[in-house]
Amino acid sequence: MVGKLKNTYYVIVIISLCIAMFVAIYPMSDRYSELRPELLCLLVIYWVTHAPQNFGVLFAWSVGLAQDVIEGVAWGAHAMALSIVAYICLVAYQRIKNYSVWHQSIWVFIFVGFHQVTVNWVQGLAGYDATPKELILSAMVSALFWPVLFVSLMRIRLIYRLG
Amino acid sequence: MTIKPLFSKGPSVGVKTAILTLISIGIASAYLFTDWLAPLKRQAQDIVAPLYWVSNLPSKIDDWSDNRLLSRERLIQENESLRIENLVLKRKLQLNASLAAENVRLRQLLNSAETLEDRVLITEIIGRSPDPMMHQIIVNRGAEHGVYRGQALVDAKGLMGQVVEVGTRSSKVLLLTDSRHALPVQINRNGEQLIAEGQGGRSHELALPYVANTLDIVVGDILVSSGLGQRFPIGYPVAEVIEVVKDPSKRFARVITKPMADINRSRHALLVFDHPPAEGS
Repeated sequence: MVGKLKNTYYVIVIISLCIAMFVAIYPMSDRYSELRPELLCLLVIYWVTHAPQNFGVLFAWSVGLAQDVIEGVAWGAHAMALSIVAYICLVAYQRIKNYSVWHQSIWVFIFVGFHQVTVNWVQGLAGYDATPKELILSAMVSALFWPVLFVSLMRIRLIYRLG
Repeated sequence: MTIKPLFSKGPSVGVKTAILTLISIGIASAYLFTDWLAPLKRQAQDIVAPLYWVSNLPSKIDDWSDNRLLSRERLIQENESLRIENLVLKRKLQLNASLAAENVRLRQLLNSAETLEDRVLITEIIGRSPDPMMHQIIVNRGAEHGVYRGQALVDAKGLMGQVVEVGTRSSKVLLLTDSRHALPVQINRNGEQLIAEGQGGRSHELALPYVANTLDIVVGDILVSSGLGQRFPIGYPVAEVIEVVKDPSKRFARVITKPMADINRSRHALLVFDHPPAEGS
């Protein structure tokens, strides 16, 4: 029974990551593409803070590397950013989980902002650097998206009775 | 079920993060500054292309429904207008045929190599880079169809870019407007040689650096590829000059041009085979 539950858990994590990958590459007009939430980063934050015994920095790093390959940016950019974000989450998950959702959003804003800055640093080496305005806007959209993600994932975990 | 040890062994989280960060930096430097990862990049292209194809499905369905749900009347109308356009284009082609023949004769008189008609391959754009800073697209033709690195991509109106990564059934194309792209061009009106650089970022324009203030260039001039870089075939339209600012206090004039090709909107494009792929290039 426990093994089965664990399998469902992993299936849900993988499905959520696949959806986030598609959101990451879904074709959008240039004008609105900065409004795309960094769903993969949000999911890594979510799963690492809610199941730190199962998901750690290695998980975050692999997700990041997959994102690099799929988006076609310099390999290692998202991998580095996500593993550092996961590290901070691992250190602080007990605190973060106690905050209200909106309070968590502020944390998420900082996490995603840090993630964007790191990715932008590597991308800048490749000759593609974004303006600070775009980085802040993207982090802000992701932070505003956090409550939606949080509530819907909580709902899913309730339905499947996951811990 | 095994019981998880209360105090897990192995490196601490901090050490793990540090190692992974260093590995990431290593991979990123290898990716950016060496070509050690070239074979992996090619395979990644094959793995990634189907994902872009799937993410492109909604717009494909939209296209399909547009085609299927058109009224008969509109279809007839469209057919009519296409027929007229075809007629006009055919007339132009007749003129062109005689001009091309004349050109070949003149070139033979001058003892220079004759230009051959380029072979083309129709291709569909299946994906765009999700990062708005990177002007790259993915097309659905690859090594299987004879695509090679450095091949030119054109659409109905002009040059779009060049192939930078070839997968089995798909390839990645770097667009003219990318900040890492530049190509030699000439003004069609007077043959002045220039270089057109992509601006990158959100602008879909090409800048002409090092244009002397005395150079004969005006708004509306058409730039065509000059073929000097031995990358692009000669004579394809590249861009139209939209702004010329000649400030005597500055060393060079500021010239902004707009690509002729519909870089943002094209769905279909042509890959031009102008010379066989050179081995090892």
